Amino acid sequence: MHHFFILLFRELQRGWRLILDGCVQAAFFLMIAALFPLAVGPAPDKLAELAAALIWIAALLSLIPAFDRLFSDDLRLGWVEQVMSCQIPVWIYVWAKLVSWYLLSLIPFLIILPVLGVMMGLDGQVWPVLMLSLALGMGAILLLGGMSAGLSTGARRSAMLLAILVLPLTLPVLVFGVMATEAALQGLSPWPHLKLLGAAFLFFAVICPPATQLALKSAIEDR
Amino acid sequence: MNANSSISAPPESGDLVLDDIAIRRGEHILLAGLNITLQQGHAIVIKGGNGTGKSTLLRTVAGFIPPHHGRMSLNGRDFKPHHPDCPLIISSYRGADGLSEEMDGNTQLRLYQQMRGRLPHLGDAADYDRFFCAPFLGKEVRHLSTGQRQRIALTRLCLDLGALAQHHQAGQNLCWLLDEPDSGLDEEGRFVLEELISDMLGAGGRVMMVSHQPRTLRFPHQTLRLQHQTEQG
Repeated sequence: MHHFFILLFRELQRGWRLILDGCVQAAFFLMIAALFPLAVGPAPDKLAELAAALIWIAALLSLIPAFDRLFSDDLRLGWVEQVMSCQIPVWIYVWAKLVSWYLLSLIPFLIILPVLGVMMGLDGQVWPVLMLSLALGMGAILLLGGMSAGLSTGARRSAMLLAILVLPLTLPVLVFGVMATEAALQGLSPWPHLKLLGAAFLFFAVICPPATQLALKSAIEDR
Repeated sequence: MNANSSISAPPESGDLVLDDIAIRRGEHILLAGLNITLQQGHAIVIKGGNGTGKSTLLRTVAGFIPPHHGRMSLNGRDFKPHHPDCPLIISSYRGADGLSEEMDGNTQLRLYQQMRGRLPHLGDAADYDRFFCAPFLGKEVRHLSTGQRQRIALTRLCLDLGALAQHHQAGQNLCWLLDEPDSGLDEEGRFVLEELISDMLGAGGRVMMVSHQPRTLRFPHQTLRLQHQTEQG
């Protein structure tokens, strides 16, 4: 635990310097989402119907480009090796990285979300559900993204491969997330969907970090 | 197989022994039949042309690459370098030095002390500033020159050693694996480095170092020359 907080603090400190990246990511999110109202045209009803799905797709697309940089800097600069030399297990590093990244990319997202909601004509009562489902869903997506970032860094392949690896795996998250918001829009209980989303998150939380650790170790071996 | 790339002596207690090590990179056997005995307070300087496996050898001892064949032992017992129970405390230096470009030197040295939980904890990093980093420790690393950056990375070694001295411990568990630590240093920096290594050896530590410098190094050491493996090897 002690090491986890040391590493988390390092990531947050570093990430704070790179907070601009997080803001750019949120701006990208806003841009993608802003394209839909323009493309769909002046039909507020239609837009409100699609809003949840559009926001989810925009969130997904804006997250993926950031995966590329997740581990590549640390591997290139030898930081992961330093962590290992200090006899700190790599999974602690992976968790610290994911948690810090989650915090730093979630905050700009949540700030921007109400703006989007207004833009899409989304009912104010749905926001808490949308936020909760995005918070859970982004966690799951980051876990998946971390895993594929580890794999693709080892394989020295591009961000495109990453997107291809991650997108199919995010389907359950996307489906449950959108359904939770839709249910709330129709005045039904979103909880069954949120629970499924939570289950998906926990599943990935168990599966992904060990896989990430293995991918990083093999990436280090090949350097 | 490659008899002249070996430094062996009858193993004693406290020795770090590499026994018949072979290292494979991809399909290619890079090193084979390598025997090294590294005693407490001794240093080995590894020389050889580009691509003979100097860095790879250090990375194998550091545990980043599993050896294809052979065993590594300390006091007659096999060790896994990254396992929390491993008695050996390894510090590595290489070009990819683990410094983060967005953070200043002070923060990163403090971080190193915190991560090195098993070494006794030290007070202020400035007390161990043998490489004279003080003027630029407050700057972000990306604004520094190669040599300055290298000095900060090497100051971590001063922290290792300082921690031992402060608590009157011998350095028999400490092992430094240095991959061209002198490449970017000026004359003064090299002098400090060699002095530092001498102190480390005096405290009972072990050093393996890759160096291309033709000069005589001012600390006692053996030299290991690596050669390209012939294909039939």
